[in-house]
Amino acid sequence: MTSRSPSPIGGSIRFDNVVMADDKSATAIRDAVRRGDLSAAEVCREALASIERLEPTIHAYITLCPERALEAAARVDASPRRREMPLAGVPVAVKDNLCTAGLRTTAGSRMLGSFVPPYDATVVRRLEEAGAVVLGKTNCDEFAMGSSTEHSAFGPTRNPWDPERTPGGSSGGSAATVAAGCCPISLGSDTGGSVRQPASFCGVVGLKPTYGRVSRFGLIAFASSLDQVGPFARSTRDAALVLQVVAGADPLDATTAPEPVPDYESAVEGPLGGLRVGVPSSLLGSGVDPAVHDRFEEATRALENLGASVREVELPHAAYGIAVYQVVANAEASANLARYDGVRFGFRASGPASLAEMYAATRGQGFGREVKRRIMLGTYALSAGYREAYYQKAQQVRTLIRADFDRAFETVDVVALPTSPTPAFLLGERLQDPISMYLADVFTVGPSLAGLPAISVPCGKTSDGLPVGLQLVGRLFDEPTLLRVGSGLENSTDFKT
Amino acid sequence: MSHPLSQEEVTRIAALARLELTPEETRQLAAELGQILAFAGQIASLDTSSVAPSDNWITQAPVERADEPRASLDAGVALANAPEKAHGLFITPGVLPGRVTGDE
Repeated sequence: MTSRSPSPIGGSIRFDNVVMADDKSATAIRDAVRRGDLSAAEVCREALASIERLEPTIHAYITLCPERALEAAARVDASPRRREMPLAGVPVAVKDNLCTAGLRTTAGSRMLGSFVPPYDATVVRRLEEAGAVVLGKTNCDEFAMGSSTEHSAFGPTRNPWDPERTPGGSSGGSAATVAAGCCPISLGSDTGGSVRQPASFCGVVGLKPTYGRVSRFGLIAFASSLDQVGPFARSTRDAALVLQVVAGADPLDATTAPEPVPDYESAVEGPLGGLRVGVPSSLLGSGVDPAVHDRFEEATRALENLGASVREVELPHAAYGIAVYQVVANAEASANLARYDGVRFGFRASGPASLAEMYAATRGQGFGREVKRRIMLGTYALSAGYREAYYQKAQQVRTLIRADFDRAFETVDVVALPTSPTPAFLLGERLQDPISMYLADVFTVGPSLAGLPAISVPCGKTSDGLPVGLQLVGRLFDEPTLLRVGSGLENSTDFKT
Repeated sequence: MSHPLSQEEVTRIAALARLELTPEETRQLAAELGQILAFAGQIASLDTSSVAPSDNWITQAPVERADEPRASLDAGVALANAPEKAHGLFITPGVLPGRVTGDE
């Protein structure tokens, strides 16, 4: 079993005193805890200690819950079911827009700065029932709106490979803590690239499942036709392990799909002979960093050496993805965020004498700059006189974007793209220019708009040592193929990161 | 071509969104929204006259369940995060200004 280039911050920080000194994968921890070679409590204490060492540099967490984690670990150690638990004793970090009963959940916003959910998100419940131990809630852009984690009301997260740079976003904390080696797996949410892009910037695996594959009950809603929960891991095998636990229909989320959940863990084993990989070369011209371009070409060559055939595909409407996404996602956000009105939960402005004034003051003071910008855009795009020109039109172009992928999948099994056109950018670099920030998602919004599964896997580094990600997009519900291709690349002898 | 929205337009949208903005925010948003809307407006050039919108394309048939009572959140739990509460109810300012203080 291999675990790729684990940590940028040094190999001395994790689990050094225990049996799997050279393999800190979720699978290895799970196996050791099941065998009794290691206790969940011991693993938990190591993980908490490494977080304590690195948190001043990385700031991956909004809330840590050491006592809750140690209690959960003790329950795993005492459980008669321990030997059957698919994630026995595995430490996990959870993005702070996923509800955790009794544990503060802020979505990175002042609006929810003291919100304590009365219930668990279904994905959190499933992880804990599988024996995983939640260490804390990770930092993110406010309400998951952003590509750098700089739009968090709790300050930015820093990239473990270079603390002057962003880890990406919006799930930057979840990506950074896995990259730094503090825990082997984490959960994020991906609306237009918020799992894949930070995975790429931090050199880890990030998977956005098919729309409907994973329950969103307890996920704080941003854009309901796009949001999906997905795992971060340091290997595709570990990502498969997490997906196995969280995927599947949920009576509490009517948008979950009834399709049976396949065996993702065995899917990573298959050969790549006969696989057809599509590359939309026309999209890879201007705006793509030369090092990203080079790593992308090396990755597609490595796939050929593994037996896959690479051919051209056309995605003629992909260039409109960001424009469509800005309209659709923000229109949905403006509706979803209407619930934050200072009445039932969250922040309330003090002073206003009427209900309407209280609503406006609460929202004006409780939301940050990017969230207000997006609510305004979405409200504009849905307002009388503009709805047809923006929202309706965007939903029509969305149909064209999806049809492009349908046509591509008539001749190929996966579409390969860079995850992001650049490696991690500097903190502050794009904060004053919203459109440049939005363009970080240029390759990830298309699959989101089409509801398709997509994975980002590490495919080398720039000359400055910054990670680069390869994105693979699959047919609806074809996560097994994405995991198989990602695993093939990880194990490829002519493809070393 | 990007041109800023008028401040009046920004104020009108903010009222629809129930967002109180400072004069500085209104000024900034006029410019930024103009820019972003111009960027989003590039889709106007595409011919979509025969294209169906993507509404509801992925959801299943309506999901129904038996209309039977079942447990829900206890009132105390539901109220736990409320900014202001009393007697098992959410407390808000009055709908009409001055109703509470009686000065109008």
